[in-house]
Amino acid sequence: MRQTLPMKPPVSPYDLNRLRLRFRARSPSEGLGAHRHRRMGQSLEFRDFRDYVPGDDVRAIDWSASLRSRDRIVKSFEAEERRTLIILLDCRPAMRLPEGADKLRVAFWIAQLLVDIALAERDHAVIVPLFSAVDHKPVKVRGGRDKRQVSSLFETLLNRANDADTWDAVPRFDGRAAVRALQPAAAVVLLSDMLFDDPDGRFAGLVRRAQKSYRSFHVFELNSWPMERSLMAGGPFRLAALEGKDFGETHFEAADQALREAEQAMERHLLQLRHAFAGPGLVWPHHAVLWPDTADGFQDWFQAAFRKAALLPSLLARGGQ
Amino acid sequence: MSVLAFLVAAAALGILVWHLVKPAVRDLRISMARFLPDFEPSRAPKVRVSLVPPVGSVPFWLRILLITLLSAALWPHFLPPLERETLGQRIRVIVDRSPSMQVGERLDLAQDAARTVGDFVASMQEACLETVLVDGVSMTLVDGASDTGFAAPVRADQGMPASALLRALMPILSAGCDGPPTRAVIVTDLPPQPVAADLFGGAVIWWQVGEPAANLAIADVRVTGGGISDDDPRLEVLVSAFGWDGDAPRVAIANGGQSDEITLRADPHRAGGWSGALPYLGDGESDLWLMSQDALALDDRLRVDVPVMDALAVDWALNALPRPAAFVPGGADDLRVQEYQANMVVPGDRPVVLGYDGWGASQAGQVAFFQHRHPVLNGVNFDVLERHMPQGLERLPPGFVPVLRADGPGSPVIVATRAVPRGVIVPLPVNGGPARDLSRLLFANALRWTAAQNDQRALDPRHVTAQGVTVRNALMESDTARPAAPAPDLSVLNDPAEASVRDPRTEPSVWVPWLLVAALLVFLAERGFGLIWRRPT
Repeated sequence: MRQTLPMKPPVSPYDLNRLRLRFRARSPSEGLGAHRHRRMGQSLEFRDFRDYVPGDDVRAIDWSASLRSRDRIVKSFEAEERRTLIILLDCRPAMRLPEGADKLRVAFWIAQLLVDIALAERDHAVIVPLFSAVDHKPVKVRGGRDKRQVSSLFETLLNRANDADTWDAVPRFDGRAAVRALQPAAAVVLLSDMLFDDPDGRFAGLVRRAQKSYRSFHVFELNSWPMERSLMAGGPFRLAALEGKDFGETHFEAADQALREAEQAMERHLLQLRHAFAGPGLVWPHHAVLWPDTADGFQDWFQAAFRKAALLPSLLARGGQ
Repeated sequence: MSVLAFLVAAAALGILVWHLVKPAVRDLRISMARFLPDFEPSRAPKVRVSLVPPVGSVPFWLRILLITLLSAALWPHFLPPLERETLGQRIRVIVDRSPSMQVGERLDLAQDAARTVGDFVASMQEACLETVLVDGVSMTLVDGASDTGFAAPVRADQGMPASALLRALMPILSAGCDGPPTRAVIVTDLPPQPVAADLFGGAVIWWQVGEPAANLAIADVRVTGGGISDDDPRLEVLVSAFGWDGDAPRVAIANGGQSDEITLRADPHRAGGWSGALPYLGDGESDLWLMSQDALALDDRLRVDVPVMDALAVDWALNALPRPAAFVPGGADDLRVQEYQANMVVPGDRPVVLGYDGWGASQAGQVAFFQHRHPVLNGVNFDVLERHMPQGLERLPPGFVPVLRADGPGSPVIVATRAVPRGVIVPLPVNGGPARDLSRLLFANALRWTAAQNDQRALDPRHVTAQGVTVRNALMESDTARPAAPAPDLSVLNDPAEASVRDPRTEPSVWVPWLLVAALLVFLAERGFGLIWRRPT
């Protein structure tokens, strides 16, 4: 029988809070958000000089610099304000694999944990499903009450029709909803195995756009290859069609050489995506969240893997990018 | 049973093998499918045999349960017939000793038939014989083929229906042999009767003895005429004939010291029937008897209580009109004539004629409706009636229905009748005026129609012997002219294939439909769960 994983992430609120505090560099200012971004504002951290324009706070005029340039010069500072966390969920059929330890479920868990952290930091969050066959609207989370909508969205995505057509269909990317969700000074997090195809570069366009306007783009790469590799190495198998690729009824055996070829093909694909996504705000650690060989103790594995996820420090530290 | 056992074992073994043989290949769906190269086809066997019994498999047990339920439902139909030879045959000979068996040499022939059966049974191995003598009163069990029972005289005062012979098939009398009878031979002069399977499941040989003999029987007698009818009183006698091709039968009647006789004529309304009208010799007990010689005397004499027919007995309670001299004073059981009063209690146990004062306020009117050709309206001129329409009744007592209604508010009822016992409500006759004749006609019709049933009820015909002993069911014996059948083949008694007795194991069980329903539900459950188990991942 298929192993059923819970919808709620296997990380206790206590552990999550400890994790959040560990990455916290300093206490928030009164009335301001906890994160600092590459955007002008009022804080104690200097950003640059600029000419005075009517309406500027006269207390910001740097009189020494003004005397040197014979014009009024004001100092600008980094802003501290509430940040918006935009979570892009890869919902391709391949994300439902491997069976019993599917990547989509892990993505849900991570998304819920990130939302909990954002709410604890008094930030806002937006969840945007990508590659979904059904048009799901982004879910905005501004408080604890909105978490119900998040759960409802996840259940809808999981309970979607599970027929052969769904598996065979080639995923189509429509980034309009994600573009509409982009807000200035936001942290965009992509939860995906990064194995999708981007033939027309539309996804890369979205990533580059997400890095503008003081935004950062974080890639939470989910790699289930170890588990699926061990599945194929366990003896003869028959491969079901997926995302347009059909293997027929032939019984296969996976030789080591063939598996190494598959690994190399995936590495080339990821390298191409890195080049295509490259930009000033891209945060894509080289260490992905790597699946265990078997699904036994999967929830325990997740607790440890999330705690050690390479992306978390850059995403949660107050110093920001 | 062996066939079913083999099928069940084969099916169970098939299911077990089906669950032990498993595919040696796994169906996988890999998320990196796009990046997988062309693998080498596997050369390993595609199936493997598991030696672990599928005791934890729900579909395995559902399929085994399905086979079990179907086997239980079909099991009785695959049971082999009982080993007849091991049962030992118990043969019952049932001999008819009713009065009709006295015709000719039928009793002797029956005794010879019983002996023949006894001799045949004696030649059979492990066979038991018992004899049951049946007459119209009792059944007598005789061990073996003893002649003892045949020596007793036949009771001639009781006719016997054929069902008495069939009742002797029931095992309640079983004492001669050890157990209920397995086969039976019925020796009688009656034609073969169908034997219900639930009465006796074994083979029954019907041995008809005796040649056909012509017979006449007085079937019924009834009185007509007399009283205030237009005809003289007489007794109509009905005679049934069986194989009779002689002269017209003659019937005599005797009452007190008087007697008379007539020759019957063929009854056009009954095939093989004769009828005739005997003169009325007075009231009281009368005997009628057939004078023609026939086969059976049991049904040739009838005794009836003839009522007073020349003067009608009437319980006259009509104050406005004196009792006519033609009527004699009646008692509590005779026709009652009285005035009708609203809300009165009408006698319900005897005929009644109720008169009401309707002509006093008669006036011209119209008939609303009437029952066509009703005897109470015989001879009534409606033109006269409509010129002198009596005042009718608004309501009728229970049991009465209108025969004639006048047109007008409420459609008043002029004449109403009751079927059983007969009753009539009519306007009382008047002694003068233009409606005098009409009123008397209506009232006389009411008396005549009501009194007719009174006469029929008085008769109580019963068959008697010449000595005056009442004979019951005499007409049951009358058909002595039935076609004779050849002697039966007794070898059926020794044929195991024919010697079937009711096998309770193969009786239709009330559980079979429920077992089939349960099997259907299990099948649906197995299919339903199969959809879940085989759902693609």
